[in-house]
Amino acid sequence: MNRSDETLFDPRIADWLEDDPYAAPQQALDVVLAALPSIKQRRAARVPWRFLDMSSPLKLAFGAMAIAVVVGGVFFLGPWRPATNVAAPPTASPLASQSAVTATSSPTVAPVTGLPGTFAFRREDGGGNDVFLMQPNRSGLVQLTTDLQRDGNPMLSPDGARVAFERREDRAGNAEIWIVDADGTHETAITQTAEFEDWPSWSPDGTRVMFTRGTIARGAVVTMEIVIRDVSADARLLPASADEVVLRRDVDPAAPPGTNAPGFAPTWSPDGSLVAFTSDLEGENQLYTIRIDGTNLRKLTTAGATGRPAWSPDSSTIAYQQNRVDGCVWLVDASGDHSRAIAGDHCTDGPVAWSPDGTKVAWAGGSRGAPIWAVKADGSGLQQLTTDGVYGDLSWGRATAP
Amino acid sequence: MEQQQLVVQAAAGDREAFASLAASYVDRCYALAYRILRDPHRAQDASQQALLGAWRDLPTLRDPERFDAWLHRLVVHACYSEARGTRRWNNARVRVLPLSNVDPDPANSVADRQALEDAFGRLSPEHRAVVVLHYHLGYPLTEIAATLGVPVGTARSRLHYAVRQLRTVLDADIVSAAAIEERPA
Repeated sequence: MNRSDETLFDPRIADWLEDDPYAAPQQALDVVLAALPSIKQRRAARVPWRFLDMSSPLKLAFGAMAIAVVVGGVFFLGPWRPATNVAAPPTASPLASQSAVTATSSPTVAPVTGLPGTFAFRREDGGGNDVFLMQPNRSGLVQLTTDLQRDGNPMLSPDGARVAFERREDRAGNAEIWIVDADGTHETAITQTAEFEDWPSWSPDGTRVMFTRGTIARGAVVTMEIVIRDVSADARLLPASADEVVLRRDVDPAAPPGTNAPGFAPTWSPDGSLVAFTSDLEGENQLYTIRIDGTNLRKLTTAGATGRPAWSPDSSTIAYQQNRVDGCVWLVDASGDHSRAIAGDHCTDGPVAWSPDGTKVAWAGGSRGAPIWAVKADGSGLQQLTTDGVYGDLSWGRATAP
Repeated sequence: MEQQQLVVQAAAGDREAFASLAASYVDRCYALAYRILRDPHRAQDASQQALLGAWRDLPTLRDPERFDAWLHRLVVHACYSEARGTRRWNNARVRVLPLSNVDPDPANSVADRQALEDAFGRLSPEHRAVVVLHYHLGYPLTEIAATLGVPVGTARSRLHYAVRQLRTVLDADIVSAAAIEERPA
């Protein structure tokens, strides 16, 4: 092995690393090969051969000139558009997407009728992870995004007209918050920062979006925050400094493992007063609430909680997942009392979603896709809504195309 | 068919050529991703994303001889993306081993491996990547820097920092094991 600095070599580390597996699961290759036809290759940039032979300063000068020409051309000739807007995805039509439902839904689980509202979720579509809307009876599938990035954690606005979601860039590992209309048009970034932002959640009046922000310095997370951004109709793209901070934690390098860079997965209560979130603030992930003004932090669980929690429509109860021997999907009063399990199996690490009429709680996958399951809020009537396990980051609202 | 020929054909849009390439590289991608992410599902996702990104961007690769390093770069960046998405849940996977499992041999002990696993999990994805590129692929610092697109000094400092963190827990374990051995009955 050609190592340039032997002082950096430790055989104990080498032995430990080489113990790990070398073979990929067969399905890894199958997924890649199946997705190839749906991915269009990028066109190579054509570089004049003389350019390749130039010295670096000359390349720099010519490059600068080229950029100036392009920028000038766009400025003087092109119609001005906000840099964050992108064209509507070509497959945003509900009719065009309907065939995908037929193709991916298994006949072994019959569609369940009578459930209200609309699901928003992430699904792997070959080229990446995109966000979709679908009725609980599996009709009306609408693909909202079609890019090659990893889009996830979609949530419908209270008026059903828009969907906020996070977009992770493949290359930079960064994530930003985007909003798209519920018909797949007007896709717009509301954050464009060096930090990573994720887990968007709407205020009850639909004028603000809450999300988490992680600041990275020298390759490590140094702060984690829950922040609020104004997204009312006259709001402009604002810098991170304009956001209202609900909760902030600075990394303590001396703290025990698991407590030095807490993560948050927040959800705004329907009455607007509280945020419920799971976090590893004290080592193990637990469920917490905090007032919107950043006061009155309370821990509601002691036996763990994972994924993003969901509020009942009347803000009285919070649902969350925690896989234990005595339960899997749980409800707890907003006061922290009366914790009870409503499902005992099919847990994932994903978020839970409460139906708009308050009668049911549903969940799908988190880090991995899974079928959608739903159970009545009293713990009866567990139902599998889809057979195919491709659904993740589920939320439940009411969609109304603008 | 030679690998370079496959790369050229795949860059021209030949899906069968790329399928041959993917079949011969998927294990390498997965092995690299697993060592950085320490999670089989995430490693599978990252290796798939890297291979799909390779298909998409292959026409932009000017030098087919650099395909290996280029693909490794895609895998590392896919791992960054995966790790950012899962960072908050990493702690749930930490296992606590009972004291009776402690092996007095520090070079091979279960405790050592767990300590390394824990310490490695606390490193940023960027630090993990340089450790894996150096130890697993045997890359020298110049190659690590070229693969990650960072200055050599940055690669060196990341590797120094990461190895120092990992050695700290290993050396602490040796001290602990010695203390247990010397404890009066």
